[in-house]
Parts: sequence; C-alpha cells; structure tokens
Amino acid sequence: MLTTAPARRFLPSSDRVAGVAWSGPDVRYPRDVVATLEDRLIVGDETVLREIFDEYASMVLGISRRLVGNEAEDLVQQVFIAAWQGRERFDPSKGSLGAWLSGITRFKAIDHLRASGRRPSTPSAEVGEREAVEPAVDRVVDRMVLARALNTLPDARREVVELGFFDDLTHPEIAERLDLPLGTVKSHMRRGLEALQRELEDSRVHS
Amino acid sequence: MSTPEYNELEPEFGEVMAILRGGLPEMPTEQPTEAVWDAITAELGPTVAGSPRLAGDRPSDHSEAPSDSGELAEVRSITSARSWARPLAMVAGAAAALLVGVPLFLAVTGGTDPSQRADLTALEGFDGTGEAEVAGSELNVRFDGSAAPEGSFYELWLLDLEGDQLEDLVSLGQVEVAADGSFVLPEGIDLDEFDTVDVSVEPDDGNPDHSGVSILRGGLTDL
Repeated sequence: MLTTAPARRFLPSSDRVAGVAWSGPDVRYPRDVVATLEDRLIVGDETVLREIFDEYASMVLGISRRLVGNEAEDLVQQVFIAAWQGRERFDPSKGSLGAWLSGITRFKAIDHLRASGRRPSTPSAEVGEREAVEPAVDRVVDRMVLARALNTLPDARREVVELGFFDDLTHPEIAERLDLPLGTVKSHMRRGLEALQRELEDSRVHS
Repeated sequence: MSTPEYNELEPEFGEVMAILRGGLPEMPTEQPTEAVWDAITAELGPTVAGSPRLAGDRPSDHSEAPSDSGELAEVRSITSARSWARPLAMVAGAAAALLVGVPLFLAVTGGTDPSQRADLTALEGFDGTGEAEVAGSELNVRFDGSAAPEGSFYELWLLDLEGDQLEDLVSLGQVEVAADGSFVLPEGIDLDEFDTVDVSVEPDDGNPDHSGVSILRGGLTDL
C-alpha cells in the first residue's frame, strides 16, 4: 500500500494536538469537550486527583524532603489533601497547576515547620542556622519551581539560560557556542527569563 | 557576568537571575510510597481513589467539562508530553504491548535501508503499540491496537515539537490498524524539525485539522 501524502498542511496551533488520551469506543469527542487535568479539577472530577498526584508528587516530595526530612511524606499528603479541598480556588488564569501546587507546598511547609517549632532540616549550606522559617522555605521552593520551569522551556531557550547562568558565558560567547546570531541569543535569554519569572510569581500568587 | 547585556536584564529579572546564579537542584525522581496515596484517600473518601496508577482508566463522560477549554488545552499538552516521557507511561506501554502481542513490522522499503526509526508508544488510555521507519523518501508505519471506533479513522502526522510546544504539524494521511502503511514524505521536509510521529483518532466529520486526540507517539532517532 503506497499512499501519496496529501498536500494539505495546517497552521500550527498548540491546542490542536493536546495528546489527550482516548478512552475507548464510547468516548464522545466533539473536540472541545476533551478535558484537561485543570478542567477536571475545576469541575471536581473525582478521578483527576490521582493523575495530578502521579504527575506532581515527586516535585512536592522533593521540596518536602529538603525542608522536613523524614516527615516529607506527611507534608506531601497534606499538600494533596489541601489541593483537593481547595480546588475551587484554583484559577488557571493565574498560573499553571505546577505553580499552584508549589504555592500550596510553600504554605503547608511553613505551617508544618511552625507547628513543630523547628527550622528546616536542610543542610546548613543551603539554609543558614538562624534563618527564619519563611525565607528558608521560599528559597527551597523558589529553586525547585525554577528548576521545573527551566526543564519545560523549549530547548533553545533552556540552553541559552543554562550557558549564561551556569557556565557564566557572555551573550557573544553563547552565540558562538550555539552558532546562533547574537540577536537570537538575546531574544532566547529574555523570553526564557520571562517564563521563569512568571512561573515564580505564579507560585506565590496562588499561595 | 557583569557584562552590559546582563546588566540590562538586571532591573527586570534580578531576582530570577540571582537564584539562577546560585544553581538549581536536580529535578527529584523519588516517588512517594503508595501509603501516602492511601492516607490521602482515607482522608478524602474513596471516591477520589477511582483512578488506579497504571490502568489508564478515564471517565467516559466528559460532558461536564467546560466547552471553552481552548486556553487550557495547551497546559494539557504539556502535561501529556511530560507523562509521555515518564517511566510509568513506559511501563503502561510495555504492558499494552504484551496485551496485544508484539507487532510484526514489515518494512516495505523497496531496497532502501531505513535511516531513522521510531517506537510508537500508546498515550494513556490507549492499548496499542507500533513502529515507524524512514526509508528514502518514505515513512513506513505499522501499529496494532483496537480498530478505530465507528465514525472515525486513524490519521498519521509528523509533529514539530519544540520542547513541549507544538510548532508545526503535517498530515501524512489515513492509516489503518494492523496493516503496513507506506507514506511519501512531503518534499523537502526537515525530519530534524518534524521528528515526532503521531497517530490520532479523527472523527469522520470532514474537518481536516488534528482532532487533538492522539493515541500513539514516538520520536524519530537516527539508525
């Protein structure tokens, strides 16, 4: 069977290829009722929490581990319970699900540490001994939020930001290394930083 | 680092830049134990526990979802692209492969050695698996799984994904389950850009756009 490729070609639209799973022959798919995790959380679809848990629990656990050590799983539990109970407050126009959950983790970690009268159990290299709880929690959460946000940047932007801040290269050096025009490097850098800043701000608004 | 370009960015992005300069942690890979989930469902009641980790079960009725979900769909696409890469999804894909049997892939290459190939893995909720190979100016594909539901068909696409963002896509045409398909690649297509093979289920409604419902995907890699 040899099929000639049709000549039609369509404008890109990221909402067209949602990669949404197909649930079987009985699925109804007028294309606009395919529900996102966010949609399903908002309408209180009771099966969505497990999927959100599978997607984000490792990030929440990573933050928690750094802050409360071996009580981290208790904190994860509190975060997801709070997320479900507070789902009506989730507003996708104010940021992503990841930013929202990071915000809840920030809030719950501060609560948890205050209640136990402890400082974060993080190594002192990361959090100073006498530091107050809130800035210490913020520092850990901010860095994890940015790590996740950086990972989700388009490759070119991520590389430019990494070379600039982790390898300490100047813009012309990055341009040479990646064989890109200087203007492109500047644009990737600015857009990358914009995206990171937005995610950081969103993780605060929501908390 | 105190070059003029960075100084220019400082007023606007100073805080982010300071955090970046301090270095970022690796993304954590540790997953909570199942006991954590059990404790959550114990607190919230059993109804939220309806979605087991690997079953890929989805509610069959999405009618209560808001119909104007356009701006949310992009977020979902990111989520899907990520879960695509997750080990759990791979396990699910492997389990699906066992269920349907390993597909017998017969390249119809006409003597041209394949230059690239892709393993097509089922996206969550679909039980299929397949392979694609680029040979010369053709893309050969075969996948196994359920037949397309009545009133719909499967369509083969090449996607240009930049990270999680869809930059562009091109249709190669209708594709059948459990049959060897051979498709002529569009002339001049850059497979470094269009490097993701995608199979979607399309309602037979005359709309030529991607339905947004993908069942299998795989990235092309050089052989």
